Amino acid sequence: MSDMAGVKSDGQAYKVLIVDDSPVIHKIIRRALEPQGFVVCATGNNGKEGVELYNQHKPDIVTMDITMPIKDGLQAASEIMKSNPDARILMLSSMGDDTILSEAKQAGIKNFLTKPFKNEQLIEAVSDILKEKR
Amino acid sequence: MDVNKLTPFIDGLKTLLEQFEVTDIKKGKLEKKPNLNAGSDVNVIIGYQKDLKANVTYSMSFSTAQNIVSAMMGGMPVIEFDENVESGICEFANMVSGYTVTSFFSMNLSLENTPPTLVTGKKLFLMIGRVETVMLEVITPVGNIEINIGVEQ
Amino acid sequence: MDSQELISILNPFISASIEVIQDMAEVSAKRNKIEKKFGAVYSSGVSTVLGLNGKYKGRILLDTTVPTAIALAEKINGEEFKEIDETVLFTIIELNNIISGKAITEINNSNKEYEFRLTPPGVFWGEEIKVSSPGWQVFCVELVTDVGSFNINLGFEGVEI
Repeated sequence: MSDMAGVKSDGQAYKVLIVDDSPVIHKIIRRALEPQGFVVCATGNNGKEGVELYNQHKPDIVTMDITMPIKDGLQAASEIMKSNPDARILMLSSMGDDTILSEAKQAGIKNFLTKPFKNEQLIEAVSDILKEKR
Repeated sequence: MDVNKLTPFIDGLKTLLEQFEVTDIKKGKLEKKPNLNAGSDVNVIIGYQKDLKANVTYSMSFSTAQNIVSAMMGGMPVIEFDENVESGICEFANMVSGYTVTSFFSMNLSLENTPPTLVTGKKLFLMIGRVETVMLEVITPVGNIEINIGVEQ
Repeated sequence: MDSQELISILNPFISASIEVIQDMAEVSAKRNKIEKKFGAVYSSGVSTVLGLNGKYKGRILLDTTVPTAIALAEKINGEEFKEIDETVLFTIIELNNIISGKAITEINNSNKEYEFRLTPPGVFWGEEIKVSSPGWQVFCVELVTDVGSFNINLGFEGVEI
């Protein structure tokens, strides 16, 4: 058994897909998760890439920004959920007013973390979603 | 990027210039870029939202801006780039974006534009978003104007 | 918009800036002077601009000197930068994007009528840069930090206080 949040009980690493239009956020998320044993399997710059990369890599968890070009994160997350009802997605956004939250709820997305976040907050949020029963 | 969605931005500029009797407008070079960047003396930025999310910049030299404002005032000479020219160029940009919004409306797309932001300076570099951008140079008798169109959605 | 409403919009930007700069760069910021300017703002070096649509149309301009932008980017990335490069710019864009997103979220939740949405941020730098919005009043708040000052400029179309 490992006590690192990014490592499963069988010793395998959890695969993370990062979807955000900012390369700085890619880096910040990597810096928080990789020391915990998580493996970032891919990074996408918009919602469209996010959906494609999800289907390609089938990650254990996705961090998804909301405001992105081409396709926003709410649209991308609900598309992923439609074809993969067990998908585990953490919405990571600085924008999170009531209108956005209720749109997300309708799309079946319930996990949110607002930017900026501390490393521990991200690790905790990701771990909580991974613990959810599917 | 859908070419039909670029036309209203370009037509808006062309139509408004023609209304102020700047005719003989030609298309110059066309380029695709990985993000929206510009760096002329005078840059007008307009953001669009709702059915189409986009950023558009119209960039030109100080003298082209003066010439456009002169044309808007029926040919009255404009000898320096001052606050009147700034105000005139913003007004011109407002008219262009008004035309653009109307054109999109006839394509059944409802757009809302932000007021123009005018950025002027020396050795200026401007970058908006990480989105594929089309740059079109428009050649006119009052000087060249570079249009950058970055459509986000 | 009256001055009380303006303050209720300006304050979330000030508190979001202080909190986000602290959280992302671990730099503490203090609010200094507030000024009203007319029509134009001169950039100190690196500026991010975001458009606002909603009940009012407006613009947020967040501005620092080149050394301050580099210092903030260094703290956020944990790397050294000798000059302004793409990483520094993307960092400044993201910092300001997060500040504005946080502020707008608070403002929208305080009053359902606002429904503010942000246009994608633009960044620019250079010399003697002037950002003009003829006829506008612009409200400028200076924050003082250990790595230099950070200026918040907020203006709305047709709003006079």
